[in-house]
This record gives sequence, structure tokens and C-alpha cells, in this order.
Amino acid sequence: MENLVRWWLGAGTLLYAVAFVYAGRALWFRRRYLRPVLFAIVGGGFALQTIGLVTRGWVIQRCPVTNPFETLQFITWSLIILYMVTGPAFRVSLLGFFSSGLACLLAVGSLVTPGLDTVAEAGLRLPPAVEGHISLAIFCYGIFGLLALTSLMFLLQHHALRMKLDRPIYRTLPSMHDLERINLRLLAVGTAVYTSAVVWGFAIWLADPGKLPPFKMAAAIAVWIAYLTIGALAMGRRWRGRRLAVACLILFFIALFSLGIIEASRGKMTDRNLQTVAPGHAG
Amino acid sequence: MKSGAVIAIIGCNHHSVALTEREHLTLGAGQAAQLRQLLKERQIAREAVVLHTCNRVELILLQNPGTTDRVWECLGEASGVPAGEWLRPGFELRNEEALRHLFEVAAGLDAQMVGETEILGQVKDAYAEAVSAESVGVILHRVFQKTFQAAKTVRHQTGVGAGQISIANVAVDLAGRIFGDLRSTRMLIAGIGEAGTATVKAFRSRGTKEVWITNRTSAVAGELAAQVGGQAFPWDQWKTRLREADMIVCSTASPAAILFREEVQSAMAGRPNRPLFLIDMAVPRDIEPSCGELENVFLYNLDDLSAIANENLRQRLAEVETARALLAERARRLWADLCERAG
Repeated sequence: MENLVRWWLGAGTLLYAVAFVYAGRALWFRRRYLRPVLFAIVGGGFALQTIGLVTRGWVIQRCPVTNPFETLQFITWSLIILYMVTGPAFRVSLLGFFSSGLACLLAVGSLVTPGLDTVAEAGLRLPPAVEGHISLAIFCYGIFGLLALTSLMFLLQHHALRMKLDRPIYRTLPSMHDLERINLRLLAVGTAVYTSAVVWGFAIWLADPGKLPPFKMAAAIAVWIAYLTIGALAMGRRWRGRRLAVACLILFFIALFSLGIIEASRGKMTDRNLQTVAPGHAG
Repeated sequence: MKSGAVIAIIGCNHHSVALTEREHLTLGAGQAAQLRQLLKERQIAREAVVLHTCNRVELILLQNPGTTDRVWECLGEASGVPAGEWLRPGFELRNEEALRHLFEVAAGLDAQMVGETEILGQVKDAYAEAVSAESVGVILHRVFQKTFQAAKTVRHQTGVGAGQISIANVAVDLAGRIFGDLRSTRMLIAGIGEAGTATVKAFRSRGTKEVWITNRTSAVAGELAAQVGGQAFPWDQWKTRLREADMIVCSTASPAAILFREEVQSAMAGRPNRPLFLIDMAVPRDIEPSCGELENVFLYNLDDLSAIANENLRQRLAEVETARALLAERARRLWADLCERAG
């Protein structure tokens, strides 16, 4: 069954790679790519990845965010579902190309890096509130991932305009104005959802302070404060344009890094939780 | 083809006739309608579409055999220009060759500005007029549907229509990459040269909200403002509007720069976070080059715009052969299909 999970997730990743190559090849050869085709390929990858994650969840009887491998897959899944919802609605050119690229990168990273897919004990459950908190928090990384992509697109457009570059990829990118508007919306939504995840986590911590290790709390709150600060500066019109895009891009990678720290700590934390929640199954 | 009828394109265009002659070899809408009627009544063509633009008059016909001379006579009669004058620079294409030509015309390959899209609209209009006049039957219906498909395919599968090739349109495209929808932007134009006028018209056609025009000779500014629906204002006040404008076009004949870094810097301080697009159309340059180093300022001069336009043209021309091959293959297939259906 474990091999089957990796097969589904690998097949999903392959389709993300196909989507990226399809759009990238068209751009390279100065052709237009068909958005519905790209959307269909990404959609296929998303469906396969969903099957893989659901199967993994069924195997471990938990939400599949129990180790770095699953977390990266879940972030990828969140990123793609957000693209599939927002892409057609806002008609953001090239978002599919960039989203499939990042999704492919994260998913391949999770599949080929040894030691990420640590054992998740079958049949052991966390309380639904904790699982919900973890899933929501990780889902936010999908939003911040999309924000990092639109920030990267903004920086590319800005760079091209400054350097007077006029290749089709730059002409196809959305305008700086539109990208900034999207950045502000994603930042607002991401920060709001992450705030609710942090509040939720805080409530869990209040109920049982032993459940969450302090450095995990510190890392999560540091990321939260960073996004909150950037959001406040952006809404107050003090940080806009290039500065805002650079901040969002850098912060996403810092957030991913912090997630690595949290994940590294989670093994110990989870074991302890499992013993608390289901002592009969722990041994 | 059934009963010996052939698909023919007869007419003249900018390749076969110079502008001075082309000026009187034209057809109006009424004359085109009359021509279609004549061709039908005299049983010269079973189906007829008349494509008439400023660069071409071409009759796309399902023509009865041995009637070509009479086609020219009808053209002369409808246009009021003797048939001989049409015939001299005229051309005649038949069957597969005609189909290939029609495909190339619709795809913009045969246009004066390679890859332009306006011609496709004109072909569609000509077809629609003929349909409403009931001068299109099964064969030309099929031919035109395939023509539109072929033109669309060429647009998507080749770069023949990619990028702008006029300086004014390049500037508009760049503004679009900065501001997105131009309907909320304001433009200031200082000095009215030929390039500046073309630019302001291009921006206006893309919906720029406000256009402020100033010139040392105020009457000239007033004239252009009236033409494009802008607002003229005195030359000595133009720098008071730097903060409000999103795009500034300078196109004066001044021997030295008229807009300096300090002035732009000061204007930018009054419009934080809003980008400014400076377009210097003047030679010698009107805008101090170091203005382009300021944050959120995008400065393009005539050389920059020309370089982009030339590169786009080069890319388009490089795509022409690919597009021609694609269209030739489609024309061959369509001709084979039509022959097969005709038995």
C-alpha cells in the first residue's frame, strides 16, 4: 500500500512536470499555450495527488501531515487547489506555468530526499482539534507559496521593464499593477487564515501546555508576526511594489525553513501526543 | 469541381499596384454589392465574396469556366474605373493556389505590416456581407470557415502576430505591462512631434483616461487636444502636472534636456508607490537619462522603443515561412477535400 501511495504521488508529480514543460516549451519557442490544456494536465496531477494523499491518510488513519514528506505534499496540494480556484477566476496569465513549476519542485524534493518519509504509526489518532490546527496551518503555506509565486512574477516583470526586455514571457506576464493587487489579496487572506491557525494552536496550548514544544510555538509565532508586519506595512502603503514582492518571496522560504524546524521537532511531540491520546496503541 | 467551376481570386493589391494607382482602384460598400449582383446575374460566378480594403480589392469566386474577361468588365462597370486599368496590375489565382492566397491574406502574412490582425476582421466582414446578400453557397461557406480556422491556428502556433511593430504600439504595450488596464491612467505629452502624436493617439485608443497636452505653440496643442479628446494647457505650467501623470511623453525639438532627475525625484515623492512611465520620443533626448535609475520610474527613449519594434518585426518575419508551410498544407488538404466532394 505504501508503494501505491508513492506511485500515486509520483504520477501526480509527473503530470505537474508535464504541465510545466508544456507551457515552458511554448514560451521558449514564442508560441501560445492553450490554458485549458494546461489546466487539464495540472488538474490530472491534482487528482492523482489527492488519491495518493487520501490513500496515505487511510493507511495511517490520520490527516497526512505527519512527517516532512507528507507536509511538502500537502503544501503542494494546497498550492495547486488555490491555483485551480483562483487562476480561472482572476485569469492570471502564466500562474499555471509557475504553479506547476513550484509544485513539481516541492513534490520532487519530497519524493527524492531520503529520510523525509518517516514512519507514521498506523491506527494512532490525534484529537481532531489538533489535526485541524495542523492542516489549517500547513494549508496557509500553500497560500504563501502562491503569494511567493505572484511576487516572483512581479519581480520578473519589474526586472524586464527596467532592463528593457521584451521576450514573449514578459509580455505574457500580468502587469505589475495587477500582480501587486493579487499580492495584497493573497497576503491579506494568508495572514487572516494563518492568524486563525495560530489562535487555534494557542487555544490547544492553553488547554494542555505540554502538547506544543516552545520552539515550535516560537517559530510559528515568528512567521505569523513577520507576515502580520508585512501585511500592516503593505496596507499602510509603506511597503509596496518591489519591496513587498521581495519580502513575500524571502519570507516564504524562511517560513518553509521554520516548518522544517517544526517538522524536526514533531516526531518527539507526536509520540508524546500519541501516548496521551491513545496510550493503548503507543507501544 | 462540379460543372467545371473553379475557385478563383481575381483582383489587385498592394503587391501588384503602387499607392498612387491604388488610390483610385477602390471599391465602396455599395459598389461591392453591385459587383456581387452583376457577377451572379450574368452567371459569371455562382458564389462571390468581395474583399475591399485600402490595400486590396479581391474577388473570391466560385467561377464558371471561361468567364475571366467578363469578371474584369463587371469590376470596371461597378467601380466606374475602366476594366483595362484593373486588368493591368491585376492578378488571377485558381483553385489550390487561390485557397493558399486567401489563407495567407486572412492570417496577415500578405499584409503590408506582416502579422497584423485587422485584415482578418475585414475578411470576416466581406464574408458576412456576401452571406447576407445570399451570394455564398456551400463551397465558399466551407472555404471561409476553413480560412478563419487556418488564420486562428497560425496565430496560436506561430509567432507571426506576436509583439508590436510600431513604436507607438510598443509604448502602449509597455504601459500595459506596468499599469494593466490603461483606463485609469493619465498621460501628459510635452511637445508634439510626429511620433508623439502617433503615441498619444495609440494611448487614447486603448482608453487612457486623461490626456494633457502642452506645446510651445499652444494652438498646435489645442488642435491635437481637440482631435484626441484631451486637454491642452500652457507650456510654462507643464511641470506642475508631473505628480499627477502616470505616463509622460516628451517629444520636443529642444536641443537640450527639459526634464531632470531632481524634478522627477520630487514628483515621485508626491506619488509614493505609483510607478511612472517616461517616454522620450525626442532626438536630442528631452529627459535626463539618470531619471531611469529612480525607483519605480521606467524610462524608454526612441532607441529603446525602436529596438523592441525591430526585434518584434524580425521575429515575425522569421515565423513567416513556418506559417506559410502550415497554411499551404491546409490549403492542399482543403482543395483535395473539395475535389473529393465534387466527385
